[in-house]
Amino acid sequence: MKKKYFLCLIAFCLVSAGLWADPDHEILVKVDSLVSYFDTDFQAEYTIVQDKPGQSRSTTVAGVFRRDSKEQYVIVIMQPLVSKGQGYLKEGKTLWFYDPQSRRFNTTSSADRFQNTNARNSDFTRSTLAQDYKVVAGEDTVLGRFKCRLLTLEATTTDVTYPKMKVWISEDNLLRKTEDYSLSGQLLRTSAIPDYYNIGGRFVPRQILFVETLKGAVINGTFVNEKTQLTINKPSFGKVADSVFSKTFLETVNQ
Amino acid sequence: MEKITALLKLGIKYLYRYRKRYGFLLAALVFGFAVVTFITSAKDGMYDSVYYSAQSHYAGDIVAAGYDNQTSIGHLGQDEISTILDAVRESEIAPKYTVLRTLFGERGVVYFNGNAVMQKYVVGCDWEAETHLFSKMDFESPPESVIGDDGIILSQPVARQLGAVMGDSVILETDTRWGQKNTGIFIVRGIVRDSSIFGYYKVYISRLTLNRLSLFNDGDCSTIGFFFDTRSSVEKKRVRLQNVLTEKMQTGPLVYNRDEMTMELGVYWEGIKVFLYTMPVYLSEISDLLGAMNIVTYFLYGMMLLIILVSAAVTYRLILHERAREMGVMRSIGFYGGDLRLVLWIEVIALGVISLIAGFFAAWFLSRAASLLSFSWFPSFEIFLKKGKLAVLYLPRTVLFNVTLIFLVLVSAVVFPSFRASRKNLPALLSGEPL
Repeated sequence: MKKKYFLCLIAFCLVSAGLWADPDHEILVKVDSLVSYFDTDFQAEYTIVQDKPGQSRSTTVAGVFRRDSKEQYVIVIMQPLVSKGQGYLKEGKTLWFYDPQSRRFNTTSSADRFQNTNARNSDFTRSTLAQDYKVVAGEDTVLGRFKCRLLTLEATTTDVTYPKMKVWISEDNLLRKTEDYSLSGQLLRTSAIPDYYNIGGRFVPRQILFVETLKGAVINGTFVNEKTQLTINKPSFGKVADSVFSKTFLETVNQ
Repeated sequence: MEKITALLKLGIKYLYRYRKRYGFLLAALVFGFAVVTFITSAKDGMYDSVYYSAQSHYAGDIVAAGYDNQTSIGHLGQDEISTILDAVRESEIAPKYTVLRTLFGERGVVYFNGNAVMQKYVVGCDWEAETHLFSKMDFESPPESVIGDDGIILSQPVARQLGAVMGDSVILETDTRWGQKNTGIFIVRGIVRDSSIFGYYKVYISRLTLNRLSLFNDGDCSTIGFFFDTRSSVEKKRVRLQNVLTEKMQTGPLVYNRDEMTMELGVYWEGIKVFLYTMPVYLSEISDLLGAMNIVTYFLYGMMLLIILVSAAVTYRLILHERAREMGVMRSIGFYGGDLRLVLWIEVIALGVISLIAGFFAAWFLSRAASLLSFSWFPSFEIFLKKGKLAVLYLPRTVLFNVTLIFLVLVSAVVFPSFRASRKNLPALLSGEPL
């Protein structure tokens, strides 16, 4: 008799869990899984073009190496010449910045701007939306040519830079647009990812456009926002040598 | 008394008679004293300006700074604040003002019209409790009488970079205590002229608002500053407060310079630890710089005094040689050797006094001229200026030291020749024999 009750209880729990499973949160899980590469390493060349209205454009080219299984990434700056050899090494929650001129490593924050652009250091790591945020609202919407699910997110952890976000996720579970908000609800940044590479079922953004909401200039009577376009070239998956994810690599890469 | 008055008059008359001989010596003394007084008073004035800036920046002569090792930020909760204030009462250090501040450093950004200026300091203060500090500041646009929790005071350079004026609405971006982005909208209610390293990239908002942006409790703060009437006993008061505080809560050891401060902050601890700092701790590097300036000044002064000593000795010997017969006559009409010495010393002392007065006026003119100069070409020199001008400070101790040095040189230059002249026998004096 007891066994019967116990089985009923388990069945009830399973049914309840199924009923209460948040489909929007499931979407976030899928979004994360499509752009996270736990079974392999990832490397690509990133070209980051910053456009400050009224000023000349600046271009940064960097080599990016990611090992999501160990929460590691290494970024080596190749251009411009003045920053060549600078590098970043992320190991778990610690992010090191290497300056070849002083030959010193300093810790920096994931929330800091990457090379003074509108990209943040946290933009180079794997997606952890499902882990860091809860969905507080969701609705169907259309974003250009994409039918999307618009989710309003609030951080469940203090580790993220933006405590509130809105994300537009297309039907193929790819992130198409985000709006990053401060805790008080001020829109700080908008990013758009119009296209992805599909490499053997793994997805890599081709371009990411970051638009800074509060920074810009009035040009010919119109307010033009500061933007940064990040283009990912030559993405590849395959084993990256362990030695790459080390301080020694950054110290020697340009020697 | 009558005799002394007569000797005094005689000495001054002789000084006037031999004014051409004493002329060079007088010029050297005036020049030396003027230059040294100017440099040392400027140095003291500069340190005073730095101290005032630091006192205003760190808000106190003694600052109790709390550090939370968990978040690596300055934080004092209600319990810590109460404990510190109790310890202040118990130690009877009796501060004139007590100021609570919340600080957010280095990552604050002010946005206006698309312009963004990163701040080095975002200061959360209680407007009314800090009236004594704000009233001393130099405002481009005087602050409104009520600044409120939505008001912000910008430094002039920041306001210029933003293009913001009084009444404009700006957005301030800060981080919460856990590092997340947070923002607030503020109205510019004051623009302060402060382009020193302390004030260049600095904004003031209400402590309550900054606490809420940082996700602190409303009454929390980062530092408690204590102001005193005089600086002289501040260190003793710090020691007294430290002794009481150590028994009540986790405190860091007393440190005396920046290096020690950095070293102690690098030590691991759990929870909140309180450190007591005085301005000389924060300013130790600047003190070292001014100390080096002092050494160079006194080295130059020493060189000048050496020249003065040699020229005084030579001039004096020459004067005594010329006056040997005259001194012989004075002795023959009844002057004692001691009287003669007194006349000679009065001459030199009067010379010293005149040169000191003239030197002091020359230094005063130099400082007035220097205060008219602009030092904007000198990077970071603003910290040494008071309201944009070089202000001198005549500390009695420094002036007395400079005066003493002058008289020591003069006395050592004249005491032996005057003794020899006054002790020489009468025939030798009258015959004009070399001294």
